[in-house]
Amino acid sequence: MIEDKLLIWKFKRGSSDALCRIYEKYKDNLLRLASALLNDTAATEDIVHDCFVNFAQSSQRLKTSGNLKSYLAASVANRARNWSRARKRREATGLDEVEPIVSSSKRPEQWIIYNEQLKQLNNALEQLSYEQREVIILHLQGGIRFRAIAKLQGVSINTVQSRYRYGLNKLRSILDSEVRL
Amino acid sequence: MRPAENIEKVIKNTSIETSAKTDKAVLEDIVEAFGKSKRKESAITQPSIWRIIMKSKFTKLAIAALVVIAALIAISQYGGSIGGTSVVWADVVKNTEQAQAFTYRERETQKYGGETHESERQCYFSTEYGFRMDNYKNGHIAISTFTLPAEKALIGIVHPMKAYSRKNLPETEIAVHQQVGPKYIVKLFTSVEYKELGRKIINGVEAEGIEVRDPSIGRTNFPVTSFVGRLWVDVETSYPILLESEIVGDHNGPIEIKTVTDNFQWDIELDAGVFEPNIPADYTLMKE
Repeated sequence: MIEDKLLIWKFKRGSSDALCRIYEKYKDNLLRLASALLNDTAATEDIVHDCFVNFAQSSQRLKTSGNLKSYLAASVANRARNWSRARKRREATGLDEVEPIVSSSKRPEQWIIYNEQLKQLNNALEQLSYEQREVIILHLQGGIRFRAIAKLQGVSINTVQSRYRYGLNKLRSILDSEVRL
Repeated sequence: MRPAENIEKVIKNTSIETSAKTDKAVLEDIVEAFGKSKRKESAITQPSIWRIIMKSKFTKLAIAALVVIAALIAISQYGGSIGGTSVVWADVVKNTEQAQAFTYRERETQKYGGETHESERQCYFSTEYGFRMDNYKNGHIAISTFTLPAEKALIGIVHPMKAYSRKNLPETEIAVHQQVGPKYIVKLFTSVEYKELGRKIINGVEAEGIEVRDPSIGRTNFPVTSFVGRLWVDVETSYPILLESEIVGDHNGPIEIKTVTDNFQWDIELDAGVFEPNIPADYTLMKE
């Protein structure tokens, strides 16, 4: 946490090195988070890329207080939710074909290299409602507290905790059935 | 994947791998966006001689060097005649202009975005050796900058990062560096409309002051709504003993900067060693 405060302090004062360190420190976490929320390689990569670019341009607006990890995670979550809603609209209007769940072929420029565990987990997570998935991922991977997630989703903390509980139960059941198969 | 009793642990610990080549490409995009953002910030701001003199953060030496060129333009606009000032103030200008070496302290309080930042700088000026500024944060030295005419170099040392930056300075910029600091502020304050504040005792010294309220002086990297600057000089020696400024403006929200410059030691002898950067061996060179 102290390192993050120092990194933000340096970043706000124009340090590219601090920005590089922030990128190295959180890119994996943010890619994992976006990938679990969206289960779409291209969208995940675009969103995390955009999130960092936007962050790089925000040094003057950024406040030194607050948790950097949660800030970046919330930034990715907001973008992911917008993208997810847009995808639903596209699907509803039939404008686009539904994109593959996880790209099986690694494109030359592909950023994420999927392992089997990640693929399996993302596919299981996709069977949850977006809200449940978001609560679970933001809490467990983003390190965001239920109260902050409630604010992000615009619901009560009780609703968030319910979504977490029901979501985990469903996930357990999905993964158990896959193991039995 | 194992059965899901430890599902929370599984989610927390699932790893992801990334392509190093793409990592590098993405990072380059991000750093480029950062650089553009900083250049844009610099381009949309007005050149501020006050800012250069009183608020040199020097975290980006390259930009600072560019701003100095703007300072040269500003000097040509504001400098020159000091007609209309009293004999006393003309003496002050003359004294400060002729001072070969001096030191002073700057303390700054910046209120912005609901936060208050305090910083302190110790500055050393010599017409022979150059200019050195040590920036302190919470009592510890954070950034040191050296303008070295003999080496034609601008060196910045960022101690928390164990890093330094070095930039070559053209002759024209070196000349400008010789003009900045309290020397120029005195000239500036006495060349615009000012109000006489009369006399008062400051730390046991009888001082006479003037006040300027010209927002164009306080122009900085945000629109200024008000600027107040005060200059107090020792009546006996005609050297400045205190400089104060209060800048209020809007920088994506209210911003207030108060600066106090004091602890002057005028026309003293400064050793060449003061202007020797002495960069520790384990510090790395920062890329621009």
